[in-house]
Amino acid sequence: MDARAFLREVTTDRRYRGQVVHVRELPPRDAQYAQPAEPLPQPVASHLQRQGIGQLYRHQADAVDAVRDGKDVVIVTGTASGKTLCYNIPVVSALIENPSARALYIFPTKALAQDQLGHLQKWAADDEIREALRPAVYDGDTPSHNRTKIRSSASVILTNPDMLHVGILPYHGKWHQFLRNLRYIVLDEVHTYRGIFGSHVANVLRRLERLCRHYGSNPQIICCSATIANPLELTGKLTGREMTLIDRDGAPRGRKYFVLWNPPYIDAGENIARRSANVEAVELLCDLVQRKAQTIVFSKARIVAELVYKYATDALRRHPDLAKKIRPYRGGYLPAERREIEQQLFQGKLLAVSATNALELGIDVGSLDAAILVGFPGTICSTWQQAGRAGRSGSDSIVFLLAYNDPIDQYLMRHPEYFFGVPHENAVIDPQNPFILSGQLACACFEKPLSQEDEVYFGPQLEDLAADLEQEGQVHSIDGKRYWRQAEQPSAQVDLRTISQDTYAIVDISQNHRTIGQVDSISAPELVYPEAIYLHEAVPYIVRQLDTQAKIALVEPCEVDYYTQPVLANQCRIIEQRQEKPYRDGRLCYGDLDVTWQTTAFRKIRYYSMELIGQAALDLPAQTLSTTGMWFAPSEPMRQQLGQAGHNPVDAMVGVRNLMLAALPSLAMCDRRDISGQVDSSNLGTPAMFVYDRYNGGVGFAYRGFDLIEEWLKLCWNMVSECPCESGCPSCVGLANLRPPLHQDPDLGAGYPVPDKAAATALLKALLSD
Amino acid sequence: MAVMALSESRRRKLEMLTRCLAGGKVKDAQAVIDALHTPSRVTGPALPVQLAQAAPGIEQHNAAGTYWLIRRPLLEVSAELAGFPREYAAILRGSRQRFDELKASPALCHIANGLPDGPLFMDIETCGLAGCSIFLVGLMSFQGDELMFEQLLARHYGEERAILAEFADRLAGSATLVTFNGKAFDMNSLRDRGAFHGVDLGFTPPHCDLLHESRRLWKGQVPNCKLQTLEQFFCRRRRVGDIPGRDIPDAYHRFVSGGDAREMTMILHHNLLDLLTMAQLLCAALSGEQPDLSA
Ligand SMILES: [Zn+2]
Repeated sequence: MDARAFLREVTTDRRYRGQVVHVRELPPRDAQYAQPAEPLPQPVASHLQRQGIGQLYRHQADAVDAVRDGKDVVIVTGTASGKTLCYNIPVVSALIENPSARALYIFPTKALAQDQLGHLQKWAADDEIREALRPAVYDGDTPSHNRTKIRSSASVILTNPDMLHVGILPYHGKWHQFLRNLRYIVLDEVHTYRGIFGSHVANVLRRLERLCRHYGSNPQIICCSATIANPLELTGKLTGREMTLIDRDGAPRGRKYFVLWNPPYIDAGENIARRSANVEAVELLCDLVQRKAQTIVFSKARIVAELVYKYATDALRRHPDLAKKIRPYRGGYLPAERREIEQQLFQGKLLAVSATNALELGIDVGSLDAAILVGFPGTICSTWQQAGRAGRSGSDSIVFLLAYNDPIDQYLMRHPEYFFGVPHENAVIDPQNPFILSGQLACACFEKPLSQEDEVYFGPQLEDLAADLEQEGQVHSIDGKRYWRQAEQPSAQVDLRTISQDTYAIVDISQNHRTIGQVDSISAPELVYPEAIYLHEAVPYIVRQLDTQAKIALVEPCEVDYYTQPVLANQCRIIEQRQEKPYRDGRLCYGDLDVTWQTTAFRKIRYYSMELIGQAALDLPAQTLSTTGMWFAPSEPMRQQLGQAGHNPVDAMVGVRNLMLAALPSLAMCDRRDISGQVDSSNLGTPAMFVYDRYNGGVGFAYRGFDLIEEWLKLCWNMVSECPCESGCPSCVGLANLRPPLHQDPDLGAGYPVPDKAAATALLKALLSD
Repeated sequence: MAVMALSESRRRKLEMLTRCLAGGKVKDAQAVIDALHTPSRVTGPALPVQLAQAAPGIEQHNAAGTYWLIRRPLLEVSAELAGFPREYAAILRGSRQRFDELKASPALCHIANGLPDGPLFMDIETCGLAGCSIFLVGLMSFQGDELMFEQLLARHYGEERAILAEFADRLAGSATLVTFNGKAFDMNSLRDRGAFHGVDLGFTPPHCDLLHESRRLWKGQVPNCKLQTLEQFFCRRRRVGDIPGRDIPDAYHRFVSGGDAREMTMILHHNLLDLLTMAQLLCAALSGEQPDLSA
């Protein structure tokens, strides 16, 4: 598409009101090709020929060479740069050369495994390859009557870490042939293996490697990652091996325009209320679609993906041919529905999708002309990954980042240089975290008795933690080996993820109780509470009943002119104080916390006008996270001092809490999303800052902060004093790690204000001075 | 969300570790843990003396290690059933003539055509559900004029390999294998654990799974085809004081840790009754017997 012309047209349209605050032109790049050092096996070469791939990009050739040299590699190149070939070429080549060889592909989601199965099936359609390449997905959805056959006959198994952990490794005896012949382990989208999840996955991989050695194989590891700050460090810790970085991206790129777009004020003179970012997105989408530009819209909330779709098809009702070429796409659609939309998009049958970050990961939908990001996705990595969906070689593409009327989004609009200059986030994991390692050692012990040699895999804490398992009566040692001594299998009790994988079925009672969608159990009470309007491809259904026992929501179609929004209440309760120590003139505490959230009511919002037309209370059970955390209440004199200096003490505490959440990952080696915090005065009677682990039972992050409070606060001090901003920004006091509102329209709230930098600085100074 | 429950003592230790590790002080961490407890380690097999009293047997050695063999004829187990071995032999010898009348599987025909000492009855006990190790391989076969039970017991987890190797030998020398649900469970478990220990079970001889035979022959006539249900209707026995199957793993773990062999005798007896019932069901199948519904 001609992106410049499009921009010109939009900005000269009579409706245009100065939304474009910044345009960054990212220059095009020509393809850079390279030959692998040794020619590819003939069947592989001819397959590539038939697929229209005459030459390999430089990074693909680099990867093929490095893998042939026996190296463990991590490939970090842009979205749609042909990363899949970097592993499929070596794997298919190896299978052709050695028909008994096996490969294990691990993807973070089931959907990605299905997508890659499709790619491999294309390879396997070639007569010369069919014999050697027998791919199959093996995950929780694989029917049990197919499993035996897949284990014995598939040469490439595609799965996810959870299945490996709970459904493959504990049954390794059934997999002995596969494990004995395992040549390659492929880990795609490794940047998602961060924080608690990544630390667990690292240990699952150690367990896999230990069993491979037992059965006599030593597979090579091939990782692929989206751009992050530290791919070598992450994959090194994840795999326990020295990795080789492949990042000379040779894929061609067209010119790309990155537009920061701020909806205009709608309250002449007052400059408080802005036009809805959702509505702006719809207008841009319609303009693009009418120019036949293939477009993806990324929304932060599922409801917004539905609204954008509904509004766009409404707006295009005079162009039904265009309207029917748009579809929504989000988590919670049934797998078959998602596959269908992905394929329609890939084949060009769709002009646009209105999606959530469910399409952010590498499902191949081809390259598009335009991407519209409705609201800052929360991390720089996600932003660039979503933006990467737009970009065809040899043609221009355009990305719009639309701001909500939210302090963080507005900060980015005011400071484009900050947005384009800030580095990608680090992905942090800590496989040695004692809480995580302890559970993983139990799993490892079940699979094979633990002995001292296993320090190679699990590190120097092995003896301590195994001795502890023994004390607790879970293992029994005989002749220097520790054996699992319980009837229960431990892996079923060790969850790799912070977010439960349980789902609710959404069932249409008007259609013979057909399941039309799903929702994870944590957010079910926020999406399908009684009388909620559930939108599915913009068709409204009213929720008649939410059965929390059977995990079913009963819905039926309805005709209404509104959608619904949950009203959520959050609470953090001290259950038991475990430790305390004096700090300055206050007391620093650590202990058990119950963090609860609950849908207490809901609002009916009229389409378009966003008018509140009704509200009703709900009586739903609260959900509880029982975890551990630390808290600190600044003393009365300290708060008075702040007040006398003209600062709001609570605002100061919110700023310091945000800084603490930003600083803790580097101290406790966790991900920002693994921790959270609050400022609350209901527990102690005076306002206190709380920081806690977002994992049932706690994982020791907040504890490490409690233990190293001085160091932690110094880190905060460095962050805030080195930040060049004037009065607070997302890099210092601004960006709290709050739970993403998956089911709330960000347009309806004002977000959280950026706390005052000076106030937070003053409080920190008081906390650090003797 | 399912998460392993942390005991209070473990939480304390993990917190201490977290603290020590914050400074990279693994050595100190060890000291903390050591100070908290002195690990009680059991070395060597668990108290064979007590086991020898409760379940007399002999320690056997093979290339894969040692294990405990408990060898007993039926006569020693049950005086009431002293006549059963003769009946068993007669049915197996006689079944050839009534071959066509049997709604038989190939494996059952194979048994009908063979000699009384052809079938090897087998039933295992494991440390838990799928994927767990095996601690007992119960075998029974017709030897001389007697039904002989041979139970291969791993006295602790380290003896599993030896019982698997021994079973592999026995299997290789048997004309047929008889199990109850052995196709889905016992043989799969044995093969999986064998693969782990590098013990190859070789080819399975013709395998008569009495669960499948029972379903074919008696489905609808009996409430269900569980072993103990069939036992009521064909053997006219009810188990009294039997250890339920689901309690067996924990009882074995307790035996290994503490050496309390009393519970072990209950497990051995449970396994033995299962084998005996299998022999009686085989006879019922071969002789075309129908369930005794008055039972
Ligand atoms: Zn700042």
